[in-house]
Amino acid sequence: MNEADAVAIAARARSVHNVPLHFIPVAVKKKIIELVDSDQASVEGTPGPGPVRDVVAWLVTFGESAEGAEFAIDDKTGKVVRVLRTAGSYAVHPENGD
Amino acid sequence: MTDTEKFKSAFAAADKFYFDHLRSALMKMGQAGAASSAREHLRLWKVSEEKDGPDTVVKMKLTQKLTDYRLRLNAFTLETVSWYIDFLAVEGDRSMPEDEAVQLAEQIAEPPQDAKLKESGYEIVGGRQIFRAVWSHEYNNLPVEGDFIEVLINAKARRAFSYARFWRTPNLSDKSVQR
Repeated sequence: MNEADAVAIAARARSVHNVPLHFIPVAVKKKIIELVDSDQASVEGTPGPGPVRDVVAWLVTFGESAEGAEFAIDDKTGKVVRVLRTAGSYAVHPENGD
Repeated sequence: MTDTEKFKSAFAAADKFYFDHLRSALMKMGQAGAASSAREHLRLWKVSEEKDGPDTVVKMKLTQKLTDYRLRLNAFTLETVSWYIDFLAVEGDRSMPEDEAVQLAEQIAEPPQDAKLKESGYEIVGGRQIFRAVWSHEYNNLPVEGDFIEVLINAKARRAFSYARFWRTPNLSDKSVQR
């Protein structure tokens, strides 16, 4: 996977995670991140304690001014494995995700 | 049963006697707050213990708490995560050359080979003049999120007063581990 692939996957995932579609990518980094194995299906929120593993991930940040969301895309599988939102974030409109 | 036998040792009996006496004296002086917190701030240390006929003579030294010392350990590995000694943080200055301060920080941090000095220098935090050195972690040329080592130094005292280490060997297998 390259940077463009990661941005494309993250862009497609915006609507699923109620991130406004007009938010544009503002940063892309490749890092090793830690994931907690849990029964929790969601990739959002703070996971509870549990066994962990590390993955090489592309961190794609979408945003507008101080608001934003960071998608972590597993470099090996192409899956979205974590979504972090900036504090004091935007209001989400469930009807259209925008 | 003698007084000594009621306690685990003569020292324990002497310790109780001393603090009971101190509390009583403080209460009579109207210092109820000090009386209740005496054990938080004072501690007796045994200097010697000698038999004198049926009695035991215990010589003790009274010490006063100087500062809080905070230590965090990883519950799984027992590795030190951080420590902080407040009284060493005060009255700092910029008298230490920066390269010497980095050397001192390195002695404390013992950065692994894949550590990279990310930032170092003097700054003022909460009105205190400190020197900070921070190392980040790169593994196979990739940054490891969340990993760092930080050492804070009081240049005037030529001492470190704070240390924090969050460091892992990345587990890039499919099998999860406890950490």
